[in-house]
Amino acid sequence: MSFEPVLLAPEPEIEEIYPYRRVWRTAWLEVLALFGVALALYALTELFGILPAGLRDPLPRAGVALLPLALWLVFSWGGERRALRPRPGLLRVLILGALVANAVAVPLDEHVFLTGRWLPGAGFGGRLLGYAATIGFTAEFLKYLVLRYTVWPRHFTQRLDGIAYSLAVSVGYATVLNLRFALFTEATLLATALRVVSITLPHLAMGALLGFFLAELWIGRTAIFWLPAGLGIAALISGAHYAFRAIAITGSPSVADSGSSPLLGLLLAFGFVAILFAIFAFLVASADARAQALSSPRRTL
Amino acid sequence: MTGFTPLDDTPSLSFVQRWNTYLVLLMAVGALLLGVTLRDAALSATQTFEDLEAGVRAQLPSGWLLETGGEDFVVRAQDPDALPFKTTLQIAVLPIGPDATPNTVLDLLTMQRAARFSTYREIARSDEILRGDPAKRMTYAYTQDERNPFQASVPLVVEGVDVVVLRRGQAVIIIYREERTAFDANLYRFENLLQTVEIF
Repeated sequence: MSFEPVLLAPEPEIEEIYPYRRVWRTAWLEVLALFGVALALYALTELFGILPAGLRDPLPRAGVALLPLALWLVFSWGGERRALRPRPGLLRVLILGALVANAVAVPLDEHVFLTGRWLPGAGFGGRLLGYAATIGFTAEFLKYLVLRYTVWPRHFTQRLDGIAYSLAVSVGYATVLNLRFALFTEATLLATALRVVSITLPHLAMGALLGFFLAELWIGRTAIFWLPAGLGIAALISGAHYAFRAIAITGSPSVADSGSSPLLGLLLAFGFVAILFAIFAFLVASADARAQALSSPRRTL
Repeated sequence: MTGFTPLDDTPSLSFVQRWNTYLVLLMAVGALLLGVTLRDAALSATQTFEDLEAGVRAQLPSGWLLETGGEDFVVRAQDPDALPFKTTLQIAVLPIGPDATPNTVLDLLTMQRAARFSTYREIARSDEILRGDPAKRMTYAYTQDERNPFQASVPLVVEGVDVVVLRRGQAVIIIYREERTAFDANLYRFENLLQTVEIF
């Protein structure tokens, strides 16, 4: 005689194992950690006076410049190594991102575009368009080239792959700009930290955008001008960040003080990346959900 | 017979994907041209300066500070954003005698500056034609110290060029001065000024 036990509680659902690294989680950890360090340095220097305002030792400045890379290695690279299905070639695109920044973007800006000589004095619209057409587009185009000729489309099996690779190349790109600022200027430690945040976070935000457009081009159904539109939007948003940053940081000079507000610049960079991460997390999730709904068998209610 | 196995395992692209990549390349060319055009428009933007009394008309860089009617110049334009030395373009008019030549004017300038700057050195002189008139070009260098003790810094090496042309009993001297390391980069502003200056 057989006896079938009656379960008093529903059978526990077996949770599906997600074999990949969770990209948004690690990206947010990196952003928050970087923002937190900059905020802490600001508080220790400006509010509590524990760190000297004129601290200019090259070693701490280089350390701050390398912080985004270190955070990426700890959270993203470490997370990838622990994942069941690690994404191949991440470190390679990061290194290539750094190389194109140093070998192409920096010389192009210093010898061809000369943005430092004509854009800081331009008006808001001029700065937006000028930065978008010069260093903004250059950055996104070079990152695109790195991805296009290394991992795209072979390693793009889902939309989040695009984000993961694009964030990696953006970290490499931003690290070179950070190091150049830390090593070739006489800025203080706090100024270096603030600049590192204002360089890195917008690059991460643009990375999310570029990654989404590249992944969608391979996975989704897109128009013939999808990618040019994506790069154009990225360049314009990048230009807008530069234009707003000038307003946020410069402020209104008066007799009593210079009117500069580094904290506003910090908050702008954070707000910028937060908004774009939220937008593209939503777009990726909704595109995945739509694709899943289309591919699953239809049932008549 | 064994079949051909491609070494490249890159998936083939669709028509739309291929054209997306072509259009991105076109866009990159367009952005590069736009960036260079915007740069040129900003860096070469000029304003017209005219002094009817001195008989000088010229195109000077837009956004620069203009000073007129100084002791030894008709107009002086300085880049307010330039650091550590304010890039300077200057037009001066000097009354001369009937036997004066561009060379004697340059000799006079050299003597005056040598008395002001102990490190003043003439580098070279050459002949040139300025809008159809024979002219003389002289390059020189000197060091400039900051006189304000609160802004004391290492002396700057300043490089300069004078072009002298004679007109109706007066010498017109067009001057460019810049910190040595930025001299070549901004020399085009001086060449633009030479192209546009009118003496009447």
